Parts: sequence; structure tokens; C-alpha cells
Amino acid sequence: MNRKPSSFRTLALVGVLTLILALVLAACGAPAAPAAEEAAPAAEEAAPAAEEAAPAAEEAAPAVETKYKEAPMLAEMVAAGELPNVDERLPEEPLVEEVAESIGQYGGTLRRAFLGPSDHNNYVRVVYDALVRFSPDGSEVIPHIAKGWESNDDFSEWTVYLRPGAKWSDGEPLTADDVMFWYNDILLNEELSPSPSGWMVNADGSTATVEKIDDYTVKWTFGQPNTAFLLDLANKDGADLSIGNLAYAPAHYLKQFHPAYADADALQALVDEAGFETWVELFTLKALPQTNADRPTTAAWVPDNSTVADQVFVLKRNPYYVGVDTEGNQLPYIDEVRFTFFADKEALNLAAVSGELDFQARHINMSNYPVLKENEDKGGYHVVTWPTFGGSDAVIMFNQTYENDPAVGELLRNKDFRVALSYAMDREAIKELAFLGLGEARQGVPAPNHPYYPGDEYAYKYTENDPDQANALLDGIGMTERDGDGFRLMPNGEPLDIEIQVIPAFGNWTDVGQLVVEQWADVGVKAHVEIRERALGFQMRDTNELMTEIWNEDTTGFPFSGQPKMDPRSDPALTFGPLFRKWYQTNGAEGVEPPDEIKKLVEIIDEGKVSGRDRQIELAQELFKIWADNIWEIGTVGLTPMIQGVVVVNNDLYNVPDTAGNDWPLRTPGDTRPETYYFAQ
Amino acid sequence: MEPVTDLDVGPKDVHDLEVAETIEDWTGAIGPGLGPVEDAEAINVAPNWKLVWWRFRKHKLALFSGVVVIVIATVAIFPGFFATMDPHGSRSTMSFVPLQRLRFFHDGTFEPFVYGVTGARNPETLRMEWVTDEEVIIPVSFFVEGFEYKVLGFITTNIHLLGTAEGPTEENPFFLLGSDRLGRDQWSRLMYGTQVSLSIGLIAVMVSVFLGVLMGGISGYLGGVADLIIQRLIELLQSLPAIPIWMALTAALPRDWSVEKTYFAITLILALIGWTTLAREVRGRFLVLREEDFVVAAKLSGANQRRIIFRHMVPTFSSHIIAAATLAVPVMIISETFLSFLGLGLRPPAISWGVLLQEAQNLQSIALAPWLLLPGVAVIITVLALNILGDGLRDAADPYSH
Repeated sequence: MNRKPSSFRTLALVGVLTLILALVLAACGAPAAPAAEEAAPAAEEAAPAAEEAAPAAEEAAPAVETKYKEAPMLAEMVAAGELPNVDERLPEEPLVEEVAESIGQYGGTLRRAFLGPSDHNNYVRVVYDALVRFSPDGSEVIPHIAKGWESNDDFSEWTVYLRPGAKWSDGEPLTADDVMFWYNDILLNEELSPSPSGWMVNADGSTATVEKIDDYTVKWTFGQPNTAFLLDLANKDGADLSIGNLAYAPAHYLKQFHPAYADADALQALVDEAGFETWVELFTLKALPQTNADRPTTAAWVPDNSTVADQVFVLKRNPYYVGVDTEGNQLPYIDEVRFTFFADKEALNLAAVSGELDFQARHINMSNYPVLKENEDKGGYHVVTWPTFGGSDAVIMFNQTYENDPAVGELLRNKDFRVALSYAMDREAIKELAFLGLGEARQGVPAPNHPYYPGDEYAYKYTENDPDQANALLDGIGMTERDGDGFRLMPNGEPLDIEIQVIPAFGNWTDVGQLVVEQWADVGVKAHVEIRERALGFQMRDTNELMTEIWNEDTTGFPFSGQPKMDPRSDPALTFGPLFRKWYQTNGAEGVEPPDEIKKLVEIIDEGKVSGRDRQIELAQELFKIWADNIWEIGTVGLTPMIQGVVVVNNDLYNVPDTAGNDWPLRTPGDTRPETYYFAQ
Repeated sequence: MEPVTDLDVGPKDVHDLEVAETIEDWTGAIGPGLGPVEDAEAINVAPNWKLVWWRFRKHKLALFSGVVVIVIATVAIFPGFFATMDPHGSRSTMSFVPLQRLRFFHDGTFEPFVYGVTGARNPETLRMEWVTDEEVIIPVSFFVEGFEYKVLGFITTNIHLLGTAEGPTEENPFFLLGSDRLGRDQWSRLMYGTQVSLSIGLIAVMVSVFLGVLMGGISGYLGGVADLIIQRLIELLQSLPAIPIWMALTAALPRDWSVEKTYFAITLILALIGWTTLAREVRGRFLVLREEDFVVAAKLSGANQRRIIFRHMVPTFSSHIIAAATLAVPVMIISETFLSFLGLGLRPPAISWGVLLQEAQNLQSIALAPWLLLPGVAVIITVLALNILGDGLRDAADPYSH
């Protein structure tokens, strides 16, 4: 049979390679000097580009000759006196964004789909509104709203430079005060942030300090070297509907909702009016643009009187967006982004097939790839694939602190049991039936050629389909007795039925689960798939009620920043070990003390956060060796575009790259610069 | 006591008996064409069930539907025998195989076979594409050995009605109704689905009938406070919209229940809501009958209540109950199907028609494998057959009506 995995794999490799490069720059030693320098040339570049732009300016002749060009709709507003001209709106040194294909044309509406209020990260991924961003291939951290950065020699102090003249979407200046407002009034406010976000906590438990150097310069000071700073900063974009994921906020707007500034009675009136109990609830709602269309942002598009709670969530262009293309045209090219609500994912896929969506990867089901391909011409779109590099696109994670049934918990903690279940799996069958024959059978460790790759021995460890060995291992742990249907009883003689939770989020995980259940039954282990709604499933992770769960391995490239799956302390809680998390949170007062191997993981992660690049690579490889060897997660098939990697692109839409780093920390497609996408008019 | 005229006593009435004054009238009522033996004398002495059968026999469509129902019921009793493969067994290389038509004659001789199919994944679209290979003849024989199954839950056997010599293999596929996305045989899944869907319908109706006769009987025979309470209960239950109630109850079933437990719970839920109409009918019958001469006679002869109810009254309207029950079965089947279709009823790995349809409600099945919607046809045929049969039975239930 003639299949295509090789080309997919190549794409994955390209992505991974770039990632490596990027991480090298961003995460460790390098960023200090080079990154800051990088910012400078970029700014210089803007000037010549602007000169070139002048002759090309033909659309909507503004009354005043301007250095930069703007969209016709904004030019009209300028002409009508409703807006300052484009030069005044842009910062002194605008962000110059490269385009993937060609300089674009203004106009058009980008039609997308979303699944309602719980799909708020759909917005986050499109606008990717943070001080710094990951580059399109995911390989490095690049300046965005911030102009650049610098660190001291041991990486414990980070100075971030804002863009003088940059403005919020309502025209108010964006200054160091907006960062300080976040720091003093959100992060350090005990009501708003009962425990400060993990990235701002020093090794000794104190909170890192942030100080204003001048109007456009802010300095972070950590108690120890922090090589993960930029990686963390690149994800402070209000994701997950959490004010903990901010690093700057519009002080001029939010002060009216904050008791430190607002008049107490006026604030109480606002709280009452909104039907809330406390100002915290009101502030949390008002502080994020996903839930409050009035909240100024710095993104390319801003909510237009609608939120994720609406049937149609419309974003319109931000006249003050700091980015221009290399010819000095202010971005974004596209006037409007329109998210249409779909109650049903299949209906969303159908809309994509009939060409009603211009650009969509989120919620596109990889199983529909053949249908999408066959209807490309009819629907006027083409399909691009962005394979993931996390390692496994469906992994079964075992709860190491399960207590509802102690005998089951004992088994889930037994490595031989997990190894047996891994040997019982026929990954080739899973690949054919649930992955369209794409990808490869492997454990959840980074892709090959990623510097963190622990080696073939670990990537393919326990992945052979070997029922004999599985049976021998199961017999060995005392599961020799069987019930009337031939299923093994637990060593204590009780029947066993493992629940595999599936949240039908992004992948074809229900089918993977069903196949696994069938394959485990062949060695006498009974299991069933339990499909749960996302919010409920996440809650049950937290309350330690899950035995096992299928998710994808999405953070292996980022073990030392954010919320990696390998860190039992991650937030929100993972199935891995909710009681370990509690143990760490309470400094050992509550929860369950982790065994040495898991403590070792935490030690490695903590050391990685303060180490230089070479040491980080060593540490990450060691981490993934322990990870694969202990098989707390059983990997199935990886390096496929299953997770938000099947991209439907309107044939008239340009600048969508053919390859891109695809991972949640990269905010894909946000890392591919959607503001440079344009429609051929 | 409520006046008799207000009661729903069904389409016909035993009072017709008094109207029919002559044998001629009776024969007229039963209609012509009774056959050689059923002359006036025969009718005179024939028991009720015979009269019903003679009447029913004339309804050709109902008769045909009856045959269809019997066939489906046979499948439901012996799904393993009719299945050709393990309904749960997935085959990694055989997803979305289209229908393989069973052909009976090869080169003019009776030699059932199917053509082989070969498939490959299209490198461009990644779709599994199958072509019929007329060079490959896969002989199909009857009463072949296949996978093991249990007949009625206790006799283990491996004999199947249809099958290929060495069972379906990669070189030798045999998918009468195609395969699904996991390479499972749809024909076999349909057979097992028939068992689950039909038995849920039947068991639910049996429970309904039991409840209906019990509650209706108490209500109609005792009257008074019991009648009042039961009637208000029925009104309450009937005023609740059935579909949301079913959905709420099934959604409340613990998710960790086993397939069998869920199955019985759903059956019970369907039955607990479904008994009210029957109870009303039974009550009406009781109200009418208890004033009848033969009941009064039995009473005067000193028969006790139980004897009067079960010996004298119930037999006179048992045919109505059977007809009403038959008509209730398709409603139950449809209910199970849509609950499962919505993901609230049975869930995989259970197989029912609703589950099969639920698994087919996605873009790729509709666009690439339309044969996965065939279980819908099975539902339509079964429901139609049961409805027509029930209709025929209801018409025949009172052989004295015009």
C-alpha cells in the first residue's frame, strides 16, 4: 500500500528542528544578548520599508502624507476625523512582521467556527496577544507587543522593553504602568490571586519582583536564575480564561473595577448590577476580552460587541495594532474575524467540507480528512497538515494516587501491570483504524531530532505487540484467577474493570479507547471507555476520581515552563497524581508523598528551570528516559496531524504556511501570524 | 363512579353481542370467506380466539407483517446463528469495506458466493478504497463453523447459517452489509442489534402490560378511592412529556453501570412511563364488563373476586390487550433507538440499532460509507411490520364488530 506517512514525518521533523533551534535561543543562555539585538534590527528595518511604502500607497489617499499605509476602512475614519492618522496610531518602532508568501491586500472576513463559551481558547489561539510570542515554526521566542528584552549574566534579572507610542485598542498608551498594574493589583492582590501563578514564584516560595525602570522599561527579578522566563512570558495571553495567565493589563480601563482605585460605592453598584457577590468575580469577568468586549486589547483584532457567549463572536480590526508588514502596511490585512457557533462538531466539519469556513484546524476531525480531500475542489479550499511533535497523539495516563478502590489503585501503581497493558496493545491496528495509517507507534516522548529525544530505545520501549509477555507479566503479579467470562480477577479476588476516560476534545480518542479495550480483553483485562463532557472530566481529574484517561502528549517540548504533563504539580490538575499535587501544594501536610521516581521528575524539572541550555538538554533526556521507562503513560501513535493539525484553508486565503510548529504552548495557529493572512481580492 | 359513556372503551363494544340477533347477523359480522368448515354452526360454537384468527386471516397485509415479525423475532432469538462474524471483532486492514452482494448462481449452478474485494489507502486522500475483484470467487456455504457463541445464553456452539469456508480473512473478506470504520462486520452487528432492540421493546411492553392490567384492573374493578388515585397518577404521568422524561431518567443512570444493568434500567424506564394508556383501556373494559350479565351471574353464584377477574373478565378482553401491546412494541423500539442515537441510552460496546445509528452519525460515514445507515432501514421495516400487525390484530380483536 502506498501511504503518506513519510511526508508527514518530514514535516514533523522540520517543525521539531526549528523548535530545537528556537529553544536553544529562547530558553537558555542565548536570549540575553542576541534576542535583544534582534529586536533592534527589526525596528531599523521598519524605516526603509516605510519609505518604500510611500510610492505604493494608492488605496484611500489620506489627507496627510503618512509614512505607513492603512486599511481603506480606517483611512475613511481618519478622513472623517474619527481616528488619528496611521503614523500617530503606530508606535515609534512598529513590529515588522514577515509574511509567509506575499504582501497582502486589505479587506475581507475570516470565517471560523467555535463550539460556544467553553471554546474560549479558540479566540486565544487566533489573536495570540502576548508581550512576546513563539515564532511560526515554534523554534524561538520573538518580540511582539514588547520590543525586546535583556537579561543579566545569570538569567535572574530580565528587562523587557515596551514600544514607546504603542497603544491599546481604545487609543490609550500602553506603558510600563500597565505591567505594574498587573503585578501590583492582580498578581499581588490576594483576593484576585490567592496563590500567585507558578512562573512568578521563586524557589524559596517568595514572589518574584517586577519594577518599573522608566515608562517603557520593566524589570523582572527572580530569586534564582530563570531560563524559562521568556517561554512563560510567551504564554501570558489570558489563555484558559484565567487572569493568572496575564502579564500586563489595561490599567486605565480596569481601575474602575478594582477597589484600590474605584470608589467603594460605585464599585459595589457595578457588582450588584452585574449580579455578582464580590468584586473579584466582576473583575475576573471584565479583565479578559473573551468575556468582555469593552476590555481594550493589543491584539490584531478586538471583540466587536460580542463575546464567546454569543452565537456569532465577531472580532474587528484593531486600528492601533503595533504590527506592519515589511512594506509598512499596518496589519492585520483582514478586516474582520467571525466565529460562528456550532453546537455539534460534526456540523462544524460539514461546514468546512462545504467551504463555509475560511481557515479552521480546531475541531476538524482527522477522520474526516478523506472527505475533506475529496471535496477540496467543490468547497474551494485546500487542506494543509501541521503534524504535532509532542510524541503521541493519544496516550493513556494512569492515576498514581487512585484511592476509590485501593486494590485498583495498587494495580495502577504497579509498573509490571502497566508494562503488560502496553505489550497487550496492537498499535499498528490502532494506527490503521484511528489514525488513517499515519504516524508511528511510540511512547509519549519528544520527536526524533528534538534535542530532548531520549533515543529509540525509550521512544519504542514496550511498544511491541506481545500478548505472551503481557500474559506472563499479569500472571506474575497474581492476576491468575479469572471470572466466568474469562476476565482476570485482581490479586485480592475481586473483579477488575478499568475505566478509560475520554473527553472527545480534539482527536479520535473514543475509537482509540475502544480498540484498546478490545486489545486488553485479549489478555483478560477488562476495561471500558467512559466519555465525559470536558468540564466534568477536568473536575474529576481534580477530585482524584479517574483511573485512566486518554489525552495527547502536548508539552514534551516544554518540560521546564508552563504546565507540562510530566510535572505532578501542574495546574489544572492532571490524571497523573492529583494527590501528589496536593502534597506539593501543602508542603507535605496533605495528599500523598510521591515515590522516589516521581520526586526525581520534579527535581529534574526544577533544575531545568535554572540551568543553561546544555544542562537542560541532558536533564530533559533523563526526564524522558524515566518517563518512558516507568510508563505512567502508555503511548499509542504519534507524529500525526490529529491534534488541530488538519487545516482547512480557503483557496483565496494567502500567507498560511505549509508547515508550522503545532502545539498548545505555541498557540497554533497564533504562532503563524494570522494577522498577515489575506484574501486575494 | 364515573358514567360509563365517558369511558374510553376502545373501538368496539361487547354490547354488539346483544344487537346481533340472528346467526346471519353474526356471520355477516365476521364476513364472508370463512372457508369450508366455518359455516354458521362452526361460528356458533367457535371459541373467541378462533373467531379472531378467522377475521385476522383476511387482513393480508397484517398476515404478511406477521410473517416478517416472526422472521425478525427468530433473528432476535438466535443472532449468533445468523451472524457471520464476531460483532465486536475489529480488523485493522478492513475498514469501510462496501457491501458484498451475495450471489447464488455461478456458471449456472447453485453455488452461493461473493466476489472478493481488494483495498488500499489512497495516498492522496488517505481513504481506504475498495474495488470488487471478479476474479476472486469466495464460496459461501450454509451451516458452517465459525466463531463460538451461546444460544439463549447456555448452549455453546459455532454453527452459523452462512459463512465462508475458512472464515473471513484479509484475502477472503465476507461482509454482506459492509464493514464499519473499525472493520467490524455490519451484518453481524445488525443481527446482534436486533436481539437487543427487539427484546428491549418486548420486555418493556410486557412490564407495561403487567402494570397496565394490574393498575387498570384495580382501578376499574374496585372504583372509589383506588380509582381516583390511580387515575390521577395516570393523568400526572401522561401530562409529563415522555421524551424529556426518558432523556432525564436515562441521563441519570450511573455511567459505570455494566451494559446489562443499563439495558434493564432502560427497559424499566420505558415501561414505567408506557403503562398508562393500557391501564386506561383495561379500566374501561372493567367498568363495562362488571355490569354484564355473566359477571353478575358469576357474582351471584358466589365466585370470589379473583375468579371473577381472571376467569371471567380478563379472557374477554385479552385479545385487546395483545393488540394494544403489539402496537406498543414499535413505540418502545423507536424510543430505545433514539435514546441510544442521542448517546443517552445504550452505549458501546452494547450493540443496538440505536447504537449502530449513533456510530454512523458522522461525516465520514455519511459521505464515504452510506451503508452504515442500513440499521435505519431495519428499524423502519420492524416498526412498520409491528404496526400493521398490531392494526390487524386490533381489527380482529373484536370479531363481532363491523
